[in-house]
Amino acid sequence: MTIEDLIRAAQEHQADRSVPADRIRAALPRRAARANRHRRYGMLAAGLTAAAVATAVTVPALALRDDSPAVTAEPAAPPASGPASATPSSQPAPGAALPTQVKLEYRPTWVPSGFAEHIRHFNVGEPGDSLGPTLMRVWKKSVSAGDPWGGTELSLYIRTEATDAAAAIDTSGQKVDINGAQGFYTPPQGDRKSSVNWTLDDHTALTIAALKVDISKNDLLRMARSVRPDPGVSPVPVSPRWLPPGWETTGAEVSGPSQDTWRSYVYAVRRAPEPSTDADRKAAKEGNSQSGELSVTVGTTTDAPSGGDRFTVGGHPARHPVRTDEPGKRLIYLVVDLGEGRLMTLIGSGAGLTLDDLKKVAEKTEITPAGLAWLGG
Amino acid sequence: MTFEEFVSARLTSLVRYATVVTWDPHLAEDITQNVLVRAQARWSRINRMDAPESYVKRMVVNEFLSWRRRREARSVPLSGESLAGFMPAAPDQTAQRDDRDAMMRLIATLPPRQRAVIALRFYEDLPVEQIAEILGCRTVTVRTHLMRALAALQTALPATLVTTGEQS
Repeated sequence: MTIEDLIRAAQEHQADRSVPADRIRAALPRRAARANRHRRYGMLAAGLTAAAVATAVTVPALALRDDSPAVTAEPAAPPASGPASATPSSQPAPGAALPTQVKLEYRPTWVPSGFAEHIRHFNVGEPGDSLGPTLMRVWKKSVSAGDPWGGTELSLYIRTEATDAAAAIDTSGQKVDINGAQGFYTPPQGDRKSSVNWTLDDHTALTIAALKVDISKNDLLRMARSVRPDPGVSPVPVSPRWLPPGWETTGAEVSGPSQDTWRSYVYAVRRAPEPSTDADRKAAKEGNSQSGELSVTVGTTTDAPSGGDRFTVGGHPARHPVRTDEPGKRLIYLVVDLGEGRLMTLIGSGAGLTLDDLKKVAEKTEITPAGLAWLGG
Repeated sequence: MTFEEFVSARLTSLVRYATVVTWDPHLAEDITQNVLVRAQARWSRINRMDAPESYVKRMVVNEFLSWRRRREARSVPLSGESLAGFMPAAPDQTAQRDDRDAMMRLIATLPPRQRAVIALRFYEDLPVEQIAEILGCRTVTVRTHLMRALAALQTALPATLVTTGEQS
């Protein structure tokens, strides 16, 4: 085998890792609307993108609590052919857009054998986003204690605040019935990706998506038809109680093999106007953009490079790795060893963010590892 | 062909291509969405071209290489020691999957422009001249990127693997 053959084999395998095309197609109306907004208001397209969703982010929690009760509730019985009843509002942390606990809304009461829920990902969406917040609940056969994405997965996308739910889903598939609602089934096209999309009302859109799973149409529809309202809430274990002025949390994720090996991150952004002058554009190009991104991850592993200056943060050993490569040199890393195998990793960039800012965020981050019994359950 | 017909027919191919160019499925998703939104706005002009799909693919690679995206094209830092750890001593039938996985990790370490060049050369099977046209640079520059990418990959690979002459 030649190197070129090996490169081609690797590229084909990488291509197989691409996200479902129907997911991209379904998101196009939202993207177009956002682009129109940016053109209209001259706002920078910052915020939580699909790429950022998968970006490994680590968070240190120096104020560690473990005495809060689990609050995830069992789902109610009626099928999900109508909207879920209202559930108590989640209260965001001070200065944050992200609630401290996320309403679950819906869940499938049947999933294929061998699958368990391992990831919950939530983002609040862009301001004025017609889709509103999105919750992803993901069932996998296994997951690592680190970055949970990749490999076989069955996902439920839940959007309950869309301004036009019908525009939020892919309607190009085969028409199917989901408990009396019109649904659309998109079969795999040689790529082991399939999905079912349906709406429950003008504002609620649901999608069941299979990735790298050889699942039959009947089983995927069975899973979709088993979706029921879920009145429970899912706490976000990591809660930054301080962010630099102008920053806000916009996304969170909890994952892991089990409640003992959980991993969670919170994502924050600072939005800023699109650069309007040559000087602004030059500053942005050099990494001095007024917009910024920051992630705080708590887990048993870190995605930060090794090494770096060593010091303490809140009495905990910490280090500050530095990357010199072009894409990495603008990123600020801080890794805090919380003890007992727990690491908090902060990765930030832009908006004048400094290492001191990251230290303060770390010191003020609260960790409450409660309500995680669903992991792997 | 309407924009909707183009998306229905070619989106799977396009997102696979973007995933190979970016080496990041989620960044590829982001870039593909952005490119399609822009393409839709000027589809009447793009559709009149000889090869609309080629033009859209050019938009993808340029979006990836633009300054706005480069910050997200985070390469995976790997030391020589860690590379040695997952490279087999010598390739054989049973080790082919290991070789491929190792190659995937190695490609992730390449600079974005080298990664894009090998995507266009080996995944898209484009000649150097066409790659130069897409990237807006000279053919000698493409050859340099290609040579450096292959040299970097070959350095970390078993000596028994040979090239077919891409470096010459």
